[in-house]
Amino acid sequence: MASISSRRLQKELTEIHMEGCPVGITLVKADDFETWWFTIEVMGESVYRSEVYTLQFRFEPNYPISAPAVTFVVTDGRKAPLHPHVYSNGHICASILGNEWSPVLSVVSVCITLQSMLASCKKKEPPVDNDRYVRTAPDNPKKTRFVYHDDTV
Amino acid sequence: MTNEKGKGRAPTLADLRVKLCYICREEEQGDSPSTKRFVHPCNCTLIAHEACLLEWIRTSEGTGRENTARQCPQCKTPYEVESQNPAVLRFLRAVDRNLGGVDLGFYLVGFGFVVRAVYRAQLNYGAWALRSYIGNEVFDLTLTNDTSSWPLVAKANIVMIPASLILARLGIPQPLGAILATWPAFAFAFPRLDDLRVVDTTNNNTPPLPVTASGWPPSPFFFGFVLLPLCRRFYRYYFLRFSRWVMGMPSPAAGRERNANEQGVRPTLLQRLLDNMERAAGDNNADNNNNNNANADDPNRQVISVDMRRAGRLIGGALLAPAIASTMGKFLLRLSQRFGLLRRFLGVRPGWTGIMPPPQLRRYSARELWRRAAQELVEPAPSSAVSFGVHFGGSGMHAETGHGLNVGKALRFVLGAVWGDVRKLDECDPVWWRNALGFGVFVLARDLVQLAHMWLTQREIATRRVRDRDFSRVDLGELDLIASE
Repeated sequence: MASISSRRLQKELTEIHMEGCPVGITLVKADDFETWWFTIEVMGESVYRSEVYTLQFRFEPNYPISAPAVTFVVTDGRKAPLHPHVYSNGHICASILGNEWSPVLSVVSVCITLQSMLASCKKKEPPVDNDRYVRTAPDNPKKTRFVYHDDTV
Repeated sequence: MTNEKGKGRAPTLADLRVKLCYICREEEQGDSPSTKRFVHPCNCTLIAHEACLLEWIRTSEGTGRENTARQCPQCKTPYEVESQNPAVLRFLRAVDRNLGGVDLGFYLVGFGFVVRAVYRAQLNYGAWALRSYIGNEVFDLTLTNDTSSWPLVAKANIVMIPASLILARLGIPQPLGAILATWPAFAFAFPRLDDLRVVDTTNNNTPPLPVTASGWPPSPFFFGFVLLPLCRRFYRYYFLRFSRWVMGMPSPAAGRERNANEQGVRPTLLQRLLDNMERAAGDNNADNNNNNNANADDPNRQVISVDMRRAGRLIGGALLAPAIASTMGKFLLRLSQRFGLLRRFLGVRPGWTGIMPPPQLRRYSARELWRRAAQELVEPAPSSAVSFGVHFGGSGMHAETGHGLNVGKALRFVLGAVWGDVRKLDECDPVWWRNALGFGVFVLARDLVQLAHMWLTQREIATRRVRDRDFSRVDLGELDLIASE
């Protein structure tokens, strides 16, 4: 394997093993350089207190040039958090996963961003267009053209 | 110590103990021999391989986030990228980009002709296209402006012209060649024999032809069924090879490119170029994956609208083809006034207008035609079997009846009545021939411009350099510098 993604992901993995993940984030599996799973939990006072969610990262061979496809896992009894930017199929509407992705970001920094996105949420509610989106959503959230309407939540 | 040194001059990349590319995260010790060029393109501590940075910038192109990619993600300093970007390329790019706007216009034109596809509109378009292609003279001789008098075959064919042009542009097999080849027959199609207008070969009032037919230009049939498909195949093959030679690409991918063309998939210029570059770079695996994920590259990519725009340009362009052919034909005609050889090649003739009256056309009614044909049929052959005649029933019958049924002669008469004017049309100024040639010249010119655009783009990308800066704006305490002395 000589692709860009495998070398960089190997480095990220080594860093995670050496330094550990930030509080509330745990590496579940990273058996290959295509799919990684993390659990994510919001620490401290929040509407998601003591709820654990599973995040899935899918990488393309030219990661980090191309953004990873990040979703919440919604199979086997796992659920996506009820959040205005998280659809019930696990898709996440966050600009850093789309047009504001930059190779300077990493798997851990994405986790932290999503953790703080949950932490700053005041009220658990689904996205307004949840039903419509879930009905027609593609398998890969990167194929969706999200409109990033609001940065406050 | 480093501070003192900082006073003298700002440290640069060369002074860093460890270099870490912020994109691929590869590290390099300051004293180890450098394998890949690092740059410090901004005003903060981030540094990167130039190759990684250029790859990041290149993949962002055409996705709407070029500006994000061309600045530092941390300090937002714009990267300065230098490359060979001559005025010609900037002009071609601007045209290409602005054609996006024109696309809409094209699309509306196409929309008007195709989706509004009222039979009438298609017929009118077809008539205009045919008139542009074969010229006024022949058009008036065969079809005239009165659409109601057209034979059914002509109508059926002409209505198909817009669709044929678009299909032809997509590279889908279509009856265009047949239409181009059979236009002379439109006036003589059977379903409306009452309107049949043929040259009465028995009428000696037919004026002598201004210029005798010389067998050049080739007949429309030969052109439409043989010459055109052959030329097209040769041209495609050799232009592709030429393109690859110009772009310095290996040729094994030729099969793939041809397939893509035949399926009507015409990716944009830049995409095609970048695909080719990736393919040339090797790594088949990554390449395949890239292709599969091409659409997933960026969620903001306006896939549908891009496709629609491309379709607009394509349809509009296809429907403009007759006008282009006509314009190019006129251009060739003007050129031919200076060059005798070209004039002869184009077979330019004075045409019927002017001193010579147009050939006399006579109508046969269907009944008259059959009557005359029957007459020819039973008329005794002048010298038994010498003529083209095929004796009905063979020699046995011949012997029995004394004189055979001269099927050949009758057939010749009918065919002469039906196709007779085709010869007459051959005597007309072959506007269609120079229009077809002119369109060929246009296609060649267009392909050459496109190739030049691709070549310049490739050179522009290949010559890119990100400007390296020193660390004068960075707090030196943050840097791990090699100790001086």
